[in-house]
Amino acid sequence: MKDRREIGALAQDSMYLKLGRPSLETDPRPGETAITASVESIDNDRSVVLLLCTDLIE
Amino acid sequence: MSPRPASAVIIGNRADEHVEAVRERLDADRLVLFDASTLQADSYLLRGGVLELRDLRLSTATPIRGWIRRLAPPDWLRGVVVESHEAAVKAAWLSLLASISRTCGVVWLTELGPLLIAENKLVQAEAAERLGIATPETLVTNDVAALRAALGDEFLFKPLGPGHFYIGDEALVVYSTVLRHDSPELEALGAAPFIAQRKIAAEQHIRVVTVRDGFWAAGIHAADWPVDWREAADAHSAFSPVRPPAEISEGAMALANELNLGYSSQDWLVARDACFIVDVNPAGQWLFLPDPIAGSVADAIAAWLGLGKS
Repeated sequence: MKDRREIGALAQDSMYLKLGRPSLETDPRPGETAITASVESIDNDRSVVLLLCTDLIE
Repeated sequence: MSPRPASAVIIGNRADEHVEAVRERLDADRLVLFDASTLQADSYLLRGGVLELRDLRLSTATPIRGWIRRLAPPDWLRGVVVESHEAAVKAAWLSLLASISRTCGVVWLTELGPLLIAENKLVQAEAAERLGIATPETLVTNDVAALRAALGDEFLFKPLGPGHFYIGDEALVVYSTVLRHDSPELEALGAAPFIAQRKIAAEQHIRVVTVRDGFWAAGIHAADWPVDWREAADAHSAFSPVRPPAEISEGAMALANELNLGYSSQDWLVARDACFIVDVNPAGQWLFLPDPIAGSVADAIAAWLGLGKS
């Protein structure tokens, strides 16, 4: 088993902070899936996550 | 006056040029158009599989077709704290949209469930593998040694989670980035899972759009642009229509079908020996592509919506 330090589990900054770049457009998701922000909102909420889980189970 | 039956429905916002491109091709008189941000400004009533919105009605008794572009604008109620009152309000509106999408008899171009499921890049990769479509070797790990053992000294990193985030009001995008096994960025590998992929020596980037049985493709030469072409502001306008190899045209249609996506925009790489699928966007943009592609995609979505029944 590797030490937590070896696998970076104690890192303060995530790869988001290391690789994030200022957006070139007013829409921060140029060319990529447009629904993401909404999906995040759903994913961040338990009640709707449950609703989505129902989908997955079905 | 009793509400009239709607002819089609779009979940999206008129401020979104993609919504406008499709809306202007439809009979606006009986089109229902709303999202989470606009619904509260209208008078609505949902009960028993019937939604009455303004003077129009969606009902299981008269199924119509619909297209989910976005549930809400990008900045709608941004930054609310999870489990706060504002988060509950936000979730309530999204729950209402999900309820409408599933109870009012609308046949969606892409149903909400498959749309959300297909956002996951690992789900996409697994579907591609199931179909025998080449995809770069992909893994997620917090172990740099394992990364190097599997992919060599240099590899591509891309987010498994959201592709963007905010620090204050500044929007940041996480582009696909080539890192070496000794890159200092990897010190942060353990804090959030990221996707690592084998770097492909691409000759061409191909953006494919599918709408049901419709297929369009445009390309740019890989050597002229960053690994992630979105990083270059002028790359969006550099695409030109192409006729891609059969493994892309056939693979893209098969992948959209496998993921139950009535609409998809897909990113492919053409390498010397093979074509690789690298990303599927279940609700991605297409209007940056050149005409006749941009117009044809909007035509295809509008035509499908306009038929009114499946």
